[in-house]
Amino acid sequence: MRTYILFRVLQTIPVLIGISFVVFALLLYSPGDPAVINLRAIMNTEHPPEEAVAAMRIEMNLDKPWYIQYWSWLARVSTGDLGYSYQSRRSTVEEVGNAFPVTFLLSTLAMFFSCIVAIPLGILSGMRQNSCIDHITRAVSIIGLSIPDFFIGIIGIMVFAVYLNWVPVAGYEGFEYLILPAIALAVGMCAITIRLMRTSMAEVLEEDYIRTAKSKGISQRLVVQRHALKNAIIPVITYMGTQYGWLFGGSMIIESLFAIPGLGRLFVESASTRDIMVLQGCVLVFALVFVFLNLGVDILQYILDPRVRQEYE
Amino acid sequence: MAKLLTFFCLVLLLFCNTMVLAEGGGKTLDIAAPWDAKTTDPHVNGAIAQRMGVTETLVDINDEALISPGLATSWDVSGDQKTWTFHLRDGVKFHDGTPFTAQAMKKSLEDSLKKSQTFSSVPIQEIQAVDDKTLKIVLKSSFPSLPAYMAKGESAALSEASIDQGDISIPYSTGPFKFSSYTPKEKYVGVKNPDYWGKIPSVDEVVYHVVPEAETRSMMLKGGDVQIAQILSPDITEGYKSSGSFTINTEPISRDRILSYNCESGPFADTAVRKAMNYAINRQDLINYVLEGVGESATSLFPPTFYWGNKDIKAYPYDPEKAKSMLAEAGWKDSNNDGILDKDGKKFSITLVTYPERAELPQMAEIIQDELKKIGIDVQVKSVDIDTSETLKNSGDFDMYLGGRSLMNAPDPDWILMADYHSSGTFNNGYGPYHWKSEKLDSLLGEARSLTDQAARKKIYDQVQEIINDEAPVSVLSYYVNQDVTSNSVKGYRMHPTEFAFHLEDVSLS
Repeated sequence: MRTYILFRVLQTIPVLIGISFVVFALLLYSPGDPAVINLRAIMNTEHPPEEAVAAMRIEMNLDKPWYIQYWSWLARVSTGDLGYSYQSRRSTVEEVGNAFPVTFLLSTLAMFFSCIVAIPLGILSGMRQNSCIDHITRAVSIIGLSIPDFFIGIIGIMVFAVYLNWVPVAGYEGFEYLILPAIALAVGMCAITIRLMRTSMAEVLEEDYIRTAKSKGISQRLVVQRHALKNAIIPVITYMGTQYGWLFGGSMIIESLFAIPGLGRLFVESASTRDIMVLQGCVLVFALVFVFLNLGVDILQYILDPRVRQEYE
Repeated sequence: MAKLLTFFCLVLLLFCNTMVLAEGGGKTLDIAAPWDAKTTDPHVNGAIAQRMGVTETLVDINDEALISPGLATSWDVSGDQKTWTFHLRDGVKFHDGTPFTAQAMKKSLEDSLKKSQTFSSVPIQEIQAVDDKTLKIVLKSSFPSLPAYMAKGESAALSEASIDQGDISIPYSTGPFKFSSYTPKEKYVGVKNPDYWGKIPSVDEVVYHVVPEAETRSMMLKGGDVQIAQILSPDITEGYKSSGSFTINTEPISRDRILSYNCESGPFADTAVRKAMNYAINRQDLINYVLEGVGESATSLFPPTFYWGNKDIKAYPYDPEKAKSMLAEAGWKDSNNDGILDKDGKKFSITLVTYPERAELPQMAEIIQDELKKIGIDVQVKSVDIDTSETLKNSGDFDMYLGGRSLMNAPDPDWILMADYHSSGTFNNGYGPYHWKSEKLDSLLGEARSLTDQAARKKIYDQVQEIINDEAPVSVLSYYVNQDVTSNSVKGYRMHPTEFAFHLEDVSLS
């Protein structure tokens, strides 16, 4: 297993290098001079003097070819220095650090809501194919898949926050503020998970070993619990792992709609105000979340699926 | 599965319960607005603290957008126009209990000059505390709009203990509300100052929620989370018209939508062509079709409802036939019958640059494109991000530029007229016309700087607006109108034409 983990970790290195290029390119090709932006933050003036800009360009290596700039940027970033926010004058690390836990909590809650609804429904639907509950579940999942999350968010606000007054409309002053946005985020994921779980369960239930188990007189519930579920859930876990990354990135619209100060909203705001260094920080975090999630999913798959183990041993 | 569902329901109930328990206490006024304070240091960015009534300045701005007494009850200027004396209000205390004195104000202004870019164009030489209640500001040269700059949020009066913090995390000012807390991108909270020198607020706490989405602000109002939702779009406020539980407040603000011309080259180097544009564009159409009728067609640069607006300027009527004949006189004719005017073998094909950060602008650009096509002008609309649009404009790579422009960043015409219309401004990066010069206008603006008498200055600025109207280096299309919606439990709320203040000390909750 150690060899496999090492192999997968080594595989992420070229991906991380690729990411660093993309993030650096943001600095290089975004409108606005990074030296001026940096000086605005340091000197607290909209129009820093030309001499100061020239000196800062030298200090930031902006007068050098792009590859030297890239190396010096990478050296700075590797020490945890992601620069300053032009807007708030705080460090990017602080900005991203404040927003990250909120988005993490929101995505995890969405994932949780999605799991507790989708997996049982998917299993039930797969076990009772073409039954009434299967048809209803499939119809609901198609509807869930076709409605955009922001629309679900708006409808959710109108029903549960405005009329029923069960949850707050927007803002972030506690855990309860995340319930509605998490549900809005979860619906799309839930719909796909139901369909995936159903198909996977239905396929597994057709396997010979299940038939053998059934012929031994074991009840369907036990067959599913002891034999089918473990195999049927592997593709679902793989999907959910990557989907968690999408939840993280997809939080942009939902966070803006619900006025939640997370990474998604920070990304949208920094993009609209050309707060390049914060934008870089957000992109870096989004990318790293994807990379490490994929790594985690692969390792989990290695543990759960003997076929993968066989391939690498 | 049943167990899981029960667990989920219990968790949900617990959260809702926690939320209900958290409510209660004194009277809290909640406001949802789009802008973030960004910092707790008012000398870096002072707008929100000032609007919330936490900080106060030497000079205030009244509901007619004119400067009025604030922490200074009066001020005068020396004969050479270089020394301003501010007479400070008696009986004022900072939120930390220390008295408001000229020495504290001096220290406060010096901190602000160091930190804020606001005063970069103000020629301040020295600030002196003559005695406890007299403050002198000595200038390097005459600068009649100094009191207007003393009204800006960045010149807030802060106690000496505040300044000693360096980066000010707790601003102790003199306003009707004391600073309580600030959470970036979430909220700014103030609590009642029972020792306020003026009218003591009736609400105990004011919470400013940062909510960038207008639709969400509206939902928060409907859900009872806030009592005031600021800056809603006309399509949202439309839904409140039939409701008896809310009040729609409408106020024209000091911001224009302006079409600037490249006066250096291309067809708009000719004044007659620029003037023709004023007849060719139907301003009311832009308001009706894009803003759902909420907005005001513009006449002069400053709205006539403002003191500084020239009320005698007549609006250019929509008259495409007159525009056509003016263009024909200027030599633009459709010689090859292709529907596009031409002159000396060149087609009247132009670019109109704008940006989508103000959502109405690209739509307005398309209507202008359509209207100009009717008189034989081929317009290519370039809607690019705001930074790119500014780069194109500042490099002269445009013919027309459609943008929004705030008029009263300092509540005095000197600020915008010098920056945008004086040749020192139009030949630099800026928001006015590109490479346009009027010697008469330059000399009038110079003359206005040597005067401090408001009426005399007003006469000059009226003439300046006439020149801008006659020579049309820009076409002022419309004035912005803000719409706030309040729940009917809110009494005494009034909107400010320059957005400098919310006047929350006057607001009560029933």
